[in-house]
Amino acid sequence: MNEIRTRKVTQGKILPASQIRNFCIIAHIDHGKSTLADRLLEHTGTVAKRQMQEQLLDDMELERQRGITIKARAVTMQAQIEGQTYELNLIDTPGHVDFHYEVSRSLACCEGALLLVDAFQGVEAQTVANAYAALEHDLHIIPVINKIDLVNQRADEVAQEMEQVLGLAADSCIRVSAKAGIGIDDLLKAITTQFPAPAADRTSPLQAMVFDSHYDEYRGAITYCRLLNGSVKKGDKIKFLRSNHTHEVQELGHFEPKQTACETLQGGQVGYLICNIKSLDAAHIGDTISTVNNPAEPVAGYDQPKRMVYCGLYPSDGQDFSELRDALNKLAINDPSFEFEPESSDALGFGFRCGFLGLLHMEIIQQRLEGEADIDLIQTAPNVSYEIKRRDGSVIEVHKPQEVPDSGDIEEFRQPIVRVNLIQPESYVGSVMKLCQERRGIQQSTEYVSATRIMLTYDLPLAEVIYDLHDKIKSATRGYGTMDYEFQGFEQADLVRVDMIVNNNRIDALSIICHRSDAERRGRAVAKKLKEEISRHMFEIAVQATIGNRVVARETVKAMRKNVTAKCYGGDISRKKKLWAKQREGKKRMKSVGSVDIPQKAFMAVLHKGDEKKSSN
Amino acid sequence: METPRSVYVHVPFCRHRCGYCNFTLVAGRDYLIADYLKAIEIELDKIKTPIEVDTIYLGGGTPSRLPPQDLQHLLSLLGNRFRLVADGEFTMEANPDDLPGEIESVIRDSDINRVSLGIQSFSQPKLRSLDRDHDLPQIELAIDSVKKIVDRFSIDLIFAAPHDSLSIWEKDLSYGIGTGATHISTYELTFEKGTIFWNRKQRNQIHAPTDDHCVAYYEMAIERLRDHEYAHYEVSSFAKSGQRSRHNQVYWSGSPYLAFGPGASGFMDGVRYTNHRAVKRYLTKVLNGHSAIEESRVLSRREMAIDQIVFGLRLIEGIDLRQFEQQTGYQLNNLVPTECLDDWTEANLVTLESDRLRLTSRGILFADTICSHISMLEPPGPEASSPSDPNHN
Repeated sequence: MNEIRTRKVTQGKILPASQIRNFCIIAHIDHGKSTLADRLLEHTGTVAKRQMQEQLLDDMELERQRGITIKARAVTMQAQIEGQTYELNLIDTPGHVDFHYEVSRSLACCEGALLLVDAFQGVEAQTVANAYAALEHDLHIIPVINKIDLVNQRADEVAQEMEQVLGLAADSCIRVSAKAGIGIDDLLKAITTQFPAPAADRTSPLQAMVFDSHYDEYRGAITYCRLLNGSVKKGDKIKFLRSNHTHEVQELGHFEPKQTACETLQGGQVGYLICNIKSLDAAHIGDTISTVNNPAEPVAGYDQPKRMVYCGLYPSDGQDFSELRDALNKLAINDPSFEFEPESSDALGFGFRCGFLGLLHMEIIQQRLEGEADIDLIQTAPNVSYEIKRRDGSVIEVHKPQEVPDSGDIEEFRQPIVRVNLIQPESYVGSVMKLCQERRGIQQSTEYVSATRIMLTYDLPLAEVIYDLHDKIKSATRGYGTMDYEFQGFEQADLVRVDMIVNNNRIDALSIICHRSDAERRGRAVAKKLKEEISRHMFEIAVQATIGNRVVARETVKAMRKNVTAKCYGGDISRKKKLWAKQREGKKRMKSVGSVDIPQKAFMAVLHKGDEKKSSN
Repeated sequence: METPRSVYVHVPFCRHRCGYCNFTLVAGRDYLIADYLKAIEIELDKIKTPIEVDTIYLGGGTPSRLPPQDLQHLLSLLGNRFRLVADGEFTMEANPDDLPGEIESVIRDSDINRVSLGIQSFSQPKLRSLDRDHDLPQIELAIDSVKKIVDRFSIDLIFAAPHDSLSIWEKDLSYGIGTGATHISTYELTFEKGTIFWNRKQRNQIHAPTDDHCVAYYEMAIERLRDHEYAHYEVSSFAKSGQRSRHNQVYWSGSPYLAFGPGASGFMDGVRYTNHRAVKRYLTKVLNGHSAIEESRVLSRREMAIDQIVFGLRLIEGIDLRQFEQQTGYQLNNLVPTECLDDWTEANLVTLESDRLRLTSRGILFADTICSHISMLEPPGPEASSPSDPNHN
């Protein structure tokens, strides 16, 4: 303790790049990343212990609820270690594969990474994916084993796992308990001695990379950036090289973790800029900031976020359409990786087609919508994005089943393939392999992570992964299995669009794209579920699943035989009227297609991943 | 406003609660009778000068459960406020258990001229499954007794009970016809929330019969009773010539009526009101000088007109449109869009002939679908949504 003297970042005092360390923490969910970040803040005196709020960096309510970090943040700490003052910039990266691009931009801002592994859980699928990503960015990795105070910790084995799977020397692991504050000082020392200082030329033109941004209602975009070279100060005219926007710097500073303004940011440092930018679109992650007159080269690695998962979002009550649009707009300002455009469905009315980075991203956006905007939503089944090569040679990107052209017009139907890493105890390997094979996975490798745990690698259609793989893996391995995946590319497959027809009306929002050999099973399951959910009408209702003109499944909702209750005495009049009023409310929440009322629940129940399989078992 | 010419009095006492029953009642708490009579008296004191009425109905609960002197007391309270016209109808509900006995003379000496017997079934196993206490010999004694004291009597029969069958129902109908009842009401057993049957159904211990079965029971009743000159005049009511329940027709026609007792509903000056349903709460409120009314609702003219259609349609003869227009000031078309009526006509659910709108025999089976649709119609206005498809329910 005594070795480390800590204090707040001193305003105006600029440290040379050699005394700066930029790093991130990468970890599997629940392995203690946020707790470790908190402890670092506390041990460097950046935040006093009593001000500590658990998981300080995850400041969004939703993140706190889910215990995960969604958006990157950066905190600047100043530490005195063995007589030397250091500026430590902790760049918080999202741990989930959905945010692959954001992760890569955050990693590009760091020289080092702490690879944090739970002393009981050991190396997990996400650990592997994240470690590989860090290695790809040439980061120096310090392996850290957390939770060593757990009674059932197996730190020695976990150290072996790190060596086995990731090639990180077992004896180089630093053992800590972020919760109990054990080993934090050793870790701080390792950060300063092992991680390289940033190589920055502060005299060359400004070259800074945007790795995150958030939107402040009053101040506009707050841009997080890493200065690679040069420097910037208040009043400077800067230019975003990719988006080609020019702005004047109004304020700049660090997060300590509160937003704290300073005079200048120099090469090697991490901080924020406020330039009165009215939309986050203009401050794109990965963009390079330079000066207007003498611009530097743009930083490599810039990309557009790739939306992989799409779904339709509709207001339950058609009246809420414009409210929903406003809410989506607000979200998109804060999260440019989320996109939406208006669409309409015969069954659901007016809504929006929304594109997400992945499933988690989709869930987050949905929860945020329901939580922040108080709008009841109907969500259609998520689907992945497809590529279709038409007979005329043109290639189209398809974001929803309704857009799939007639089969006669399709030369090639391509779907996204992901490489999935699955880590589980040996005894579950059989059932996991079976699940992957059923979903047309192609096995790539098998590897022992430790004496008893095995990592399987499969190439699988993303559609299968988002359909229900995660849930199935969890139940097949009793929760011990973990998985992670990364996008590989598009591949041709024998895919078809299955339509649901209710009394000769196609319910557009219920169409699905699936493998030809699954079409019948999936179609039957959806038809069955629809039959359950649609109440009897005064006429018979045919529910069919079709591919083109071919019917692959059929169910019938029989006609109602009667709807009359016998009793009707004096008091019954008010009672009956109450019942009818209730029915009226219920009917408002129905969607009519043709003359058939389809309860909203039918859209949810049918479309929710996995339900079909369960009901067909 | 029209002065009410009908009175309903609710008598909430029962020996026990049957598994299917969710009416306002107290079982096995006869010690509340004294308070009840006091409360009724307080309620009745609203009537300052005696009113001439056409019908009075003592319902329950089980009015016949009142000890003879208490029944006598209740009748005299009523007699002081209401003068039944010469050809008036005064019905009392009775349980077969409670007859014959001392009560006979109380009834005979009163204005009561019609008894409604809650027989439900003549089949022993079916009665047991319905938690009814009486048996066939008891029913026969009760019927003999009723016939001695009044000329008109009605019986209630339930169908689609647990363990019911078409052959049991057929026997129930024949027995019922054989009693010489002037009026028969047939009820489908319904599973109401808060009843033992409902809970059993939730737990899958009893199963509701399919709709197909219920239709078969219902159609059998219509057919058998018609064969024996019981006219089907309302969804669940059958009567020999001239023996319709005049009191019930007041409800269905939209005429005003007064109501007293816990859970009783009345309609007066365009207000539908219902007294406190919980018997103890009703007693506490009334005995402490508070209003007996738990909820009330003022109906607009349009709502009253809609109610008249909705409940008038439950009558087999339907609605006399000219009379309806005179009474309500509304034309049918102003309330129910023509497209709706056309669709229903085409679907063979309603007919509109010589100024009379009525349900067809198929339409009767869907009375609730049609009536709920009509009652849900929004008044036309600049922002009113267009009427939706009648097939929606």
